[in-house]
Amino acid sequence: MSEYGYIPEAPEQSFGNNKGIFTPKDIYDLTRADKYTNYGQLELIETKTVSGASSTIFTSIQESTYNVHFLTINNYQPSVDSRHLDIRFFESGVEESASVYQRAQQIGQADTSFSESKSTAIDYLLASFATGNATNESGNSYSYFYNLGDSSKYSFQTMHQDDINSSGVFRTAFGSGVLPQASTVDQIKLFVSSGTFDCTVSLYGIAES
Amino acid sequence: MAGNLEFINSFEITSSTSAFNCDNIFSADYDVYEIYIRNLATVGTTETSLYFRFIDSGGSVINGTTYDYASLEMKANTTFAESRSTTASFIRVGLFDAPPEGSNGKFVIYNPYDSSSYTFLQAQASARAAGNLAGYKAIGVEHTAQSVRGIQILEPNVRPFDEGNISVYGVKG
Repeated sequence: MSEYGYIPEAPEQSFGNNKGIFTPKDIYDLTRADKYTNYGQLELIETKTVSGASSTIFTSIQESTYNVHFLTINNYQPSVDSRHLDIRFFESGVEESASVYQRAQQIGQADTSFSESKSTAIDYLLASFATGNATNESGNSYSYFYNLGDSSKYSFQTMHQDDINSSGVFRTAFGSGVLPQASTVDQIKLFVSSGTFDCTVSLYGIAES
Repeated sequence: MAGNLEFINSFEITSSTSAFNCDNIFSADYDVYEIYIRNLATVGTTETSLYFRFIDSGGSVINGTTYDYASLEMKANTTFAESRSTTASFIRVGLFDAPPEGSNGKFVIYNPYDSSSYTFLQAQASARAAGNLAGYKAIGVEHTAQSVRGIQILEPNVRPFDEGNISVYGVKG
């Protein structure tokens, strides 16, 4: 019997187009080669429960596997009132902490007119705007990251969040960010500029992207 | 058990064009789709707008004035700009420029294959254009009750593009 169960020839196998009778080893080999149809392309990389830390770092983001990453943040609350949650990338193991990031967000607040928030030279991307630290004041957000593992491309972000701010007002913000440097990003850091924070944060990869 | 995000197909743009079709991506299998675009980049270095059209069940691109859209362009270096239309022949979904300032984003499509409903779109994109970040948030609809089987990525202002990756997923209910 030839490879992947066919007699006498092995048909070409690809995602969404598998033919034959497969042994567990066939499935293992094809899966590792990304040629076996396994549905479920939102793949959890890691979940962190952060409590009383000033930062947390995803050190194994599988940037060579995924072209698109998805980050969710649940129940973010800083210890210092009105403190935003920030993102920095590591390029080949080195944290980029210079004011080389750009970001632009639209803010929609429940008690006043919408407003803009933007910068062409800042040392972080935004994961969540400045959230309050009183009971029930917290923030939730998601971000998508593009091309982190591609050394020839810039690393882009889109995000959307909501929170209860330090005045107890509900707010949303959405927008984008970029690290405009062609580099390999291999770690993602979340941090606050002072104090500590709590949240649950999960990083996913979008397979086949 | 299968997960809820299911890969359908991917496309790569490798030569200069002003319109690229991703055909036969919608079916009765899903009501909601996610499309991820990476590094969509123009041939020249002048920034331009990015548009979507849908492809009907017969394979024809829908190019009548049956689209509505509303979008917010968020550039890091200038005041944000709104764009909208109730009689458009496309949906404006972003900006893009030459590499490495390509456009990247996620596009969610609702009810494309349902012949009794309109086809709705939500978009959020991030690009660099003329040296600065250009974020984009948009909604759109093709307001004809008809079945749609694909999308066309379009640049109507004679600024062709020659690079980009598109991945299409179904969201299993």
